[in-house]
Amino acid sequence: MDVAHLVQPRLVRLLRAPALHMVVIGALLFAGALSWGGLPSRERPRIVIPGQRVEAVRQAFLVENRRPPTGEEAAALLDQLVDEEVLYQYALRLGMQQQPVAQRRLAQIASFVEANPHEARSDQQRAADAIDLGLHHGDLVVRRILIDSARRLIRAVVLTREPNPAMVREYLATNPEPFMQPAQTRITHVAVDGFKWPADAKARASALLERLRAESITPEAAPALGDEPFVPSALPLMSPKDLQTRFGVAFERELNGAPTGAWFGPVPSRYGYHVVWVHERRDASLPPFAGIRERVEQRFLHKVADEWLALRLQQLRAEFEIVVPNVMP
Amino acid sequence: MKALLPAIVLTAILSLLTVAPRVDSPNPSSRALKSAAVDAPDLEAVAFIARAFAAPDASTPPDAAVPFEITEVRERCDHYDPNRLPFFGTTHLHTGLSFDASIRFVDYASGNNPRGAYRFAKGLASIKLPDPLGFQGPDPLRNPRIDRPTDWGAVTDHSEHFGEMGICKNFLGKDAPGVLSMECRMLNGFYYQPGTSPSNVLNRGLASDAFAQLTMMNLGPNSRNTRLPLCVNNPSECAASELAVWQEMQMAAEEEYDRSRNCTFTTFIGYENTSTPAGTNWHRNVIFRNDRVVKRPINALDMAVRPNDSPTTGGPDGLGVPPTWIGDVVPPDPDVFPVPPGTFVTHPLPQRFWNRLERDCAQGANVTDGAARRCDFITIPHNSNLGGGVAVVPPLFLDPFNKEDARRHARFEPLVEIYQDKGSSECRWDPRFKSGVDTRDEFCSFEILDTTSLSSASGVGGGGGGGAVPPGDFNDRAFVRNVWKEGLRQAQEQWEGINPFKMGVVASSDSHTGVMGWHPENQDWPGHLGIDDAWPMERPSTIQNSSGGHSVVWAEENSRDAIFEALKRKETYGTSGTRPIVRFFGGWNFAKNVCGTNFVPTGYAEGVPMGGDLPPRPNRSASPRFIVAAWKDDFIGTNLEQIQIVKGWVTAKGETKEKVYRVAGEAGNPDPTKGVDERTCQTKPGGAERLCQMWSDPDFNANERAFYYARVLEKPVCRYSTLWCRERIGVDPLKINQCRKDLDRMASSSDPLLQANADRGASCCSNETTFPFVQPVIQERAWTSPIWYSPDS
Repeated sequence: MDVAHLVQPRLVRLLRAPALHMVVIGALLFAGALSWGGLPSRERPRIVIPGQRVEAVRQAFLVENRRPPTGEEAAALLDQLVDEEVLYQYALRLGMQQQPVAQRRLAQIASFVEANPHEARSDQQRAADAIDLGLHHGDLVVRRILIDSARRLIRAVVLTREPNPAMVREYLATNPEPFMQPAQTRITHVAVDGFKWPADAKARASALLERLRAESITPEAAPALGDEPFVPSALPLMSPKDLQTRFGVAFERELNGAPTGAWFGPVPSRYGYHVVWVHERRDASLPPFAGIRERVEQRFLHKVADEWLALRLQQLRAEFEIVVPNVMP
Repeated sequence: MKALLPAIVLTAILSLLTVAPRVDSPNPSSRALKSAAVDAPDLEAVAFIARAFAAPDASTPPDAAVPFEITEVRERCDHYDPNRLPFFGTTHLHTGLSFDASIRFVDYASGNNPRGAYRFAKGLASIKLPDPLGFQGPDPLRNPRIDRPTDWGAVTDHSEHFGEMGICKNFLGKDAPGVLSMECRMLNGFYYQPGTSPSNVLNRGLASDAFAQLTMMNLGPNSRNTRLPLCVNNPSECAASELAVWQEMQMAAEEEYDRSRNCTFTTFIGYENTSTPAGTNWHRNVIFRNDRVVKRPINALDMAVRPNDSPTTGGPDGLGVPPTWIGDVVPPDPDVFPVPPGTFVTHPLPQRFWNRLERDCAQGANVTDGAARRCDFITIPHNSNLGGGVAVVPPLFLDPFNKEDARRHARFEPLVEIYQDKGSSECRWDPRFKSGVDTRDEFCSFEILDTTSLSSASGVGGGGGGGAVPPGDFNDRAFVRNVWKEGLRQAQEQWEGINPFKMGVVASSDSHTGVMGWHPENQDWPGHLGIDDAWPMERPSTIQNSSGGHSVVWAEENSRDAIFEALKRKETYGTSGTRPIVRFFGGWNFAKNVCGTNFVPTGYAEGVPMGGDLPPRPNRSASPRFIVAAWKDDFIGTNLEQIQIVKGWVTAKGETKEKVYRVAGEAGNPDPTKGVDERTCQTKPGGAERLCQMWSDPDFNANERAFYYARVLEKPVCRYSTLWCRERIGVDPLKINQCRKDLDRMASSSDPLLQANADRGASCCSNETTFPFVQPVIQERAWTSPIWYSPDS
């Protein structure tokens, strides 16, 4: 059937117009290009790591370690260079060169190249000049400021959040060491003062031990039978380090042999000899969560912030086309 | 397809309209960075984040239950004791961040840094030192680990070179301007590579020159000193790198400070001011109370009489105004208060140093953010034995200009470091000359050096070879006991009762190795100066380096506020490396039989502890009474020999005098050589595990200002150098003639190992009769802060 009979003659003329055909084909091409993942003009920005920079880093490694980097180490060094460049570019996109500290630096370097350095211009004006001239790309102080700012900003996204309680507890369960309470011992001691009994403090302590055992004297009553102690008789739970500070190294060492709930001695200390009652011993343990929650959360957040930074760096890298030289062995 | 070409052109035109934004346009919603929105990318967010990390509300009122001011929010310690506990710490230590550690191959990049030093002191990690050839190798001797953790410490790297070190150690990146400068080459040991040519005398000389070049322009001059060219030419980079280094030190201290109730370790932020006018040691450490510190360290460059405004312009040749070593007129400048402007001085001005610290820290003008309420600081001078003045430069302890100056001396400088690796500064008696520096105390021959100036004591690659120095060559004020006496005299004669030199005692190491809190008196001591004394017996100057000591405070708990206040009130003592426990109280009414009781509460209630001023005299017949007690270090195990009380006083005529009283234990022998078994080096039997005495001054004159301090002497032990020479070199300093014969035989042997050992142990055969002066057998000791008496009170 002849289509032409089904439409108006003017419309047919329009449909045959080459201009229309151009627009349609163009639109089809455009749609096709879009569906292939973006227009050629939306190509990713480029990061180029100059071979000179890579070589400088390799040389620095050589000087510090007196040997060339292994393949793995070389890759890590290159990674670091790329990460820094990515962060730098990212910081620029976020406009971090607007920070006061960067502005001041930019104003300063602009004044080196200005035609009229004495002309009264504000820091902002000078900084804008510096950016227009591209001076910020070559200045290492600005670069360092921007890289650090970007890094901190990315980490801050995590650090300012309330941590997920369940994840915090899980973190603690897998990393308890920094929060552990050391082993602790609670004792009462009866002192025989080495100054008061210079010749026979040990013998006196032994005799005292016999008496305390024979008469089943309680830890509450016993200290009165000894000398005035330099260290309080009834002590709270104490770590090995604190016991050493209080009594000396020998006392803490000998105490390890004392049974719980019985008199034991004579135990030497810097002050003389002691008869000791160990009330309780606690193994190194994790304190109640409430008491350490803040410290654990802080560490957890910092760990997550580091992981987030690594993830973001991966994401950001993907948004750039990265060109590295084939220099590293 | 004649429509195809135009279609393609049209497509091209369309694409141009959607080009990506310019690289540095701040357009966060650009689709080129679709994930940018995740990071809250605007300045408001940045400000919010900054606020989130701002100091928490520090307006918590002081806890009325503790006797010290609380400036930081933290939990109280489980071990808190109102009668105070002894905590062993470090007030002076360098790591690979110090310029003169770096030139000796102590390597920041290998972990020899503030964090590494703190972790070493806590017993958590070893620390890496260079071997004699400069390599950071695996030898256990050069990767030491502490045997017994200490309680607190401050890393005090040299502040003048923070900027240079920051650049040279890549704090601004490996390609920052200046990384390949001459200064960085020197600091990184580029020109001196002992691993490539070990016996190259020229290279060693270059290393010496490096030290001189790095210090000549900034540390030595008294006026118009100037930073190194690296920093003069790159001031912004230097400012940024100085900040980065100082921040690293702060961060390390913050991270390693135990704020939990366990209170296992306390860190303090600090640094060393390295003023060295004409080679005279004017060094002082600055210790901050908490995390509020000056934003920029006030250092030797700030002490110039006149600052150098023109380091690169003007001057006689238009190349900059050079520094001056001769002298300059004090300009009218608020920073010099209370020195009268117009005075001609031949030395730098510590007043500038204290004034700026006061302004920036105590008055808050330029202080960092932090969690604590306010900034506070003390300064601690050291090595007066090398600070006796050279040429026109007066001693470290120079005369105050006026009464206000005297007052400020005493206020900002409550402590003095009486002993460290570079010898003892307590007093000096030289048996070779049978005389001393304003003393006849023969126990003052402990760790004395054969030099009067810092330059030869720390000479890189040489130095200390000048021969025995007679006592007459020393300025009296090279020794702290004399300075204390002078303080009494000035209080009486000049300053209407104000004593400018009223300092308590600490001791430390000053090791440039990151080795914090470890002072083994044996062949494992790793030296003080990196490669320079990796073989400590090689040269006269290095064998005279000693193993350093501890600062001990009596404080209620191991926390910053408690310890800092103990330092300020001088309730401190120093040791020569062991850990005896010493108590010292002064009063008027102590009972005779106080030893045998717990005298501590009585000491506090009825008297004053070490560092204090005696209470007013209760009646006209009273004589001061002192309780002194010492308990031996039961880890090392050496018994105590005796306790002495040293009294200094000034007569009505203004003459100063001193006397040493043995108050407990046995008399001993100022020459301790016979105190050990010659064959085994074991201490001979005898001595006591503990000593105590209540002593009353039999020569007391109520009209005479006086001080009293306690000196505790242990039984003799072999010095580390003796054990080293015996174990590692193969010669015996205890038999000096045989020692020399053996050394000569080794030196002329055909066996290269014996020859090498002869070189390494060239100074082994030294004793109290030779140059260099070395006591092969020493008596470890402790010195307490004095207790002062004044008739006015």
